[in-house]
Amino acid sequence: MSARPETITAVEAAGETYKHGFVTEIDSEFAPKGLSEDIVRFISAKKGEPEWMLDWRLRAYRRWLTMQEPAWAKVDFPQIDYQDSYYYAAPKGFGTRPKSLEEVDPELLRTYEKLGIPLSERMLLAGVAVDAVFDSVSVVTTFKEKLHEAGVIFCSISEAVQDHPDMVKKYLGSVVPYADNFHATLNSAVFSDGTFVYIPPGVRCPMELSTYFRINAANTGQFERTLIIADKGSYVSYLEGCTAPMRDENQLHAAVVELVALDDAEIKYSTVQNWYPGDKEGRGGIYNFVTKRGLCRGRNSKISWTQVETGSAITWKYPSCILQGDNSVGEFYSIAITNNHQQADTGTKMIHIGRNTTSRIVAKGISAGASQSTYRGLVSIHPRAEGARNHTQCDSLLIGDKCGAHTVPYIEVRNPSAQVEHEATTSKLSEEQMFYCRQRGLDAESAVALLVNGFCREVLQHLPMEFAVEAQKLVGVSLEGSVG
Amino acid sequence: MTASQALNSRISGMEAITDSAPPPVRAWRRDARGRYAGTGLPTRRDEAWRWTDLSPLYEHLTRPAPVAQTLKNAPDGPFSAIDCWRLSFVNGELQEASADLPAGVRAMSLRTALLQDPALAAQMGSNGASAFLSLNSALAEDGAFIHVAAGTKLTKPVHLVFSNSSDAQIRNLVVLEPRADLMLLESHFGPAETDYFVNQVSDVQLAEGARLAHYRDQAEGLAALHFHYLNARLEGDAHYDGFTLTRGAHLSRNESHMAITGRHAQCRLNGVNILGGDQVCDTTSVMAHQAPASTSTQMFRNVLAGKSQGIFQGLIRVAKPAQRTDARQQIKALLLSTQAVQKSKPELEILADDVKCAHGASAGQLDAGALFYLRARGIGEAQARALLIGAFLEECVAQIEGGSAQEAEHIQQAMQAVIGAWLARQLAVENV
Repeated sequence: MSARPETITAVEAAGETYKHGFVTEIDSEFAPKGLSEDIVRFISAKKGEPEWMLDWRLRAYRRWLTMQEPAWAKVDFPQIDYQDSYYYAAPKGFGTRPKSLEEVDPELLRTYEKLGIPLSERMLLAGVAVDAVFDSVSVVTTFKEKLHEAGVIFCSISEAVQDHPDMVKKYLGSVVPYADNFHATLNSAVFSDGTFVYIPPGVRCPMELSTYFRINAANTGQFERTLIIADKGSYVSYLEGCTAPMRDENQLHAAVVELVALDDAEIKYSTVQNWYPGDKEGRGGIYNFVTKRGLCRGRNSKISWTQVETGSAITWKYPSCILQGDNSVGEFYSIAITNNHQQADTGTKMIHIGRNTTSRIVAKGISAGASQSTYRGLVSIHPRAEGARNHTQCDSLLIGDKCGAHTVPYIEVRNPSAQVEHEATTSKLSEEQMFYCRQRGLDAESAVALLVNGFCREVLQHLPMEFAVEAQKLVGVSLEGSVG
Repeated sequence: MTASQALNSRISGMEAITDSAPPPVRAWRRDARGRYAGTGLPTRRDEAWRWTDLSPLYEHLTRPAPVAQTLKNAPDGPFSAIDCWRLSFVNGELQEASADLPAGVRAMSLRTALLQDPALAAQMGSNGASAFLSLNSALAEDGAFIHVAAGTKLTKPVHLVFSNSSDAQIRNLVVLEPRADLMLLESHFGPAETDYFVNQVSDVQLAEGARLAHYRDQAEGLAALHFHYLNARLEGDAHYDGFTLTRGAHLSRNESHMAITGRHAQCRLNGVNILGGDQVCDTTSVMAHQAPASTSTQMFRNVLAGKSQGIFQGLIRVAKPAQRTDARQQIKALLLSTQAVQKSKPELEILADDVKCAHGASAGQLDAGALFYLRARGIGEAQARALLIGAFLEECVAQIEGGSAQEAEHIQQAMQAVIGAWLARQLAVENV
């Protein structure tokens, strides 16, 4: 069935429904516009960083100058002028970080409340600890005390540089080296804040950890850096959410996330990415260039990525797993929904190095409007990866005749005992299934919602409860009316 | 002298020769030279070549081309026992051709055909981005020209026999007028120890309702470098059935660009690659659906022994007007040794919403359970393995169904026999 004209109009209309597009009126302090060694020094000085941290940033910056922006992804956008952006923006008065919630600007707290993220601890449901990052700084981290009792370190990365320098020195850049790729190198030079998590041996983190990223200031890039270390036998579930105001210009978001899982540890990383996607004509929106990589360093370790990508004008993101420890497990569950002029080039890399390593990839792409959605993935079985196993499944759903869905999987097998399977399909909502639902009294909108939710179910069920609700709502909003 | 300098001097050498060609052919070659000069030979930095290391070719080009040898007898291949019209080529030059062709069919040297009708140059593509295509257009002197008139159905296949021992740029042009029906067989072979370089391009034009069964047996010498580029266009209701058996050459690439420009056209592109030693075989295909309601299927099977490498890059591209496309693609690789490598990239690029597209890729070793089952019934290890590998490949071979049922069965059996002999040899080597 081709999408009917009213479906297409309805999908276009859905583009208007970005609900987080407001701007918070707050005085901000900026670094001078543009990028130079001085800006890197400025950011480092703002954070009162030790010498080694500044050296690392400068090394990255000098390397970045020699690098070329990657052009292989199936995304199309005008040349970015890296000098025409602010690399540091902080709400005024953040020279000293607020010690407690009472010291935080109430305007900021109201912003997060409007976004549905109340930062006041007693208001928090189900005990999710939150690190809230506003432009370039971490505003507040909740439940620190409670986590401290369990031995869990959960703080902003700037604090970690001060308080846990040994650990940061040891692990920062150990998974994504500063020279890894153009965007990651830029991030290494100018990263402003982000989250640091350390789970000690044998500890099951008592609550879900969460970071909420918000870009507010105009013409600002956000470059956060997240580092999560799960020591032997520990477990942590981490959630990440993001939004930005509606603006006509494109804003850059180049983050780096590094995960390290030691023996028997497990990290579950979930993302609901809902940056501003731009308007119907494709004006504005966030350029989301993210490098996420997890290292299963120990035996029997496990890293699981779950992502729901509904926002951003351009998404360039490949959360990956390096399966180094024997018997380690990597998982990637993804839903990418693109509408209007959004472009998403996303996927994963599973690098099998250890013996009996297994990985599973489930990627669902839904394209509507004039959007382009690409799955790009690599499964690499190294010669020593005896008994490695991979299963990949990519399904694409097309709504309307102006969009495109693409699949670009790379499979490299260097060990005969490996079993690698890849399947991909592309289709549209089935007329028969729609008819069946309609016949049973469901209106068209609920019928499509039901079918799309069924299409995504495999991925949605891997999200933690709190996020699953939000994600399901998002799927509904993004496709509102495509149900005509 | 570097590889590119060597090639450039060969190209400038050609300019003198082609001055005598008719003007449209000269213009066409000049265009190709320009395109080649723009790209040069690819490297692994080019996405389309990231997995195929061309250094054996670069090294080869720095040395003078090997001296042509006279091969005594054509070795037996799967098509040897088939009754057909034959055209034999030595290093790309037509040596002899069957004379008793029926009315409506022309099968001759392309060079002669171009002298008679220079306008044919317009039917040959040099507008691809591939350096090997441009290089061939600039350098090729001869090859086969086959033309089947509208509504003509051949009673026997046409067999092109390519015997190579020195560097050759071979160009074929196959034109089937509306409702013409042809089975075209190709064999490639050469001496085992000579590292000659063969670059063959075939342009295939299938008009409305034309049918072509195109089966190839690539058994070049094990030191050879073999590049094959197929440029095909299918109009409405046209039917292409392709199968390639790759067993020869040190380094080979089968690149197929299929443009489906008419409604209800059907295209099948199949292949079996059986490799051992340090052979590398790259299968690259672009299946471009440009018209509604067309069907394509691709099935490839690789069996990799020794240190061999199988590479597969297959792109299915569905353009906006190509609604109701049904496209399938499957690549399965069997790794027989710990040093064998398979790399696959099955790619989909879909711009129409009412389509069915599916691709599958898998790689692994023989199923231990199945092997145990056979061993438990008293079948020796080598034989059990041969049985299982044979069955793995048969799925693909069994899809050969061009010509009469008898002919198809004959070719299937002949292919199986060749594969069986290769397996017996390979498994004997492994057991040593």
